[in-house]
Amino acid sequence: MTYRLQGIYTAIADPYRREMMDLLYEGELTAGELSDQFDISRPAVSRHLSILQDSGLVTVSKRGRLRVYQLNPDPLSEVFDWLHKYERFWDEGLYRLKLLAEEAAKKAKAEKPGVDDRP
Amino acid sequence: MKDIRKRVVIEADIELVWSFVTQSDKIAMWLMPNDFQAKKGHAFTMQCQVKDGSQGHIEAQVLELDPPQWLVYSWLIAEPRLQTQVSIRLSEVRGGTELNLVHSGWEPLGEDPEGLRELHDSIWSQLLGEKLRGLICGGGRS
Repeated sequence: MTYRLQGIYTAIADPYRREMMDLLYEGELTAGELSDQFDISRPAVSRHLSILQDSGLVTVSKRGRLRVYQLNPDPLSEVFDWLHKYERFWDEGLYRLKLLAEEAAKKAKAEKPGVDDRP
Repeated sequence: MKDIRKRVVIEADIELVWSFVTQSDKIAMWLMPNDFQAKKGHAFTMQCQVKDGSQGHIEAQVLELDPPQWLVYSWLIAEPRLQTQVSIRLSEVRGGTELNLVHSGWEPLGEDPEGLRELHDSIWSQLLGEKLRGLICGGGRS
């Protein structure tokens, strides 16, 4: 499954939502149990939870009539993968640059005889 | 999120390497097609081929320029929308030129630029363990 990076960034940019994730890391919780931990209104907690759900970082399941929230860390690995791609992008690019520049340098040297130790 | 830092030593003189990082046709050979001009303030785009075959582009602007050793450009990533920055420093070393590249600005913009770093401290390392940490540090197998 692929997650939208923008959604993940938005989700984790908020300190309340990060705290919710920290709490859910300890174990699953209902919306009510989560609300008890915060000084913001229940609707506000619900809004944060739905943003977390949209990002894929939090999933919800039913236990009888209760809705229970769990943390799902998978989307975070998308962030890592994406940054890792950037790392590789520069590795490969700079390697090409090195080859090209060294080739050009050799050519320039060959066209100017006498400046190096060629026979 | 920490900066991406790359270093490479090239067996070519500094002026030649400088031409590869500041001439549009030469940049295209190792990076991406572009309309770069070596002028401070010049706005340019880089065309990138996305994996699925579609075209994306990077919006960029020359921020600092000090030939033949220092170049900084902004680098706007579309998805997720992030304003990042690339700096390239060249220095003469024995036998050639050392190039140091830093790609910075990975903190998510907006309300809480420290968000990712804090999250990294509190959750990433616990949940995802050393494997992913190794991945992002470039090791992968270590």
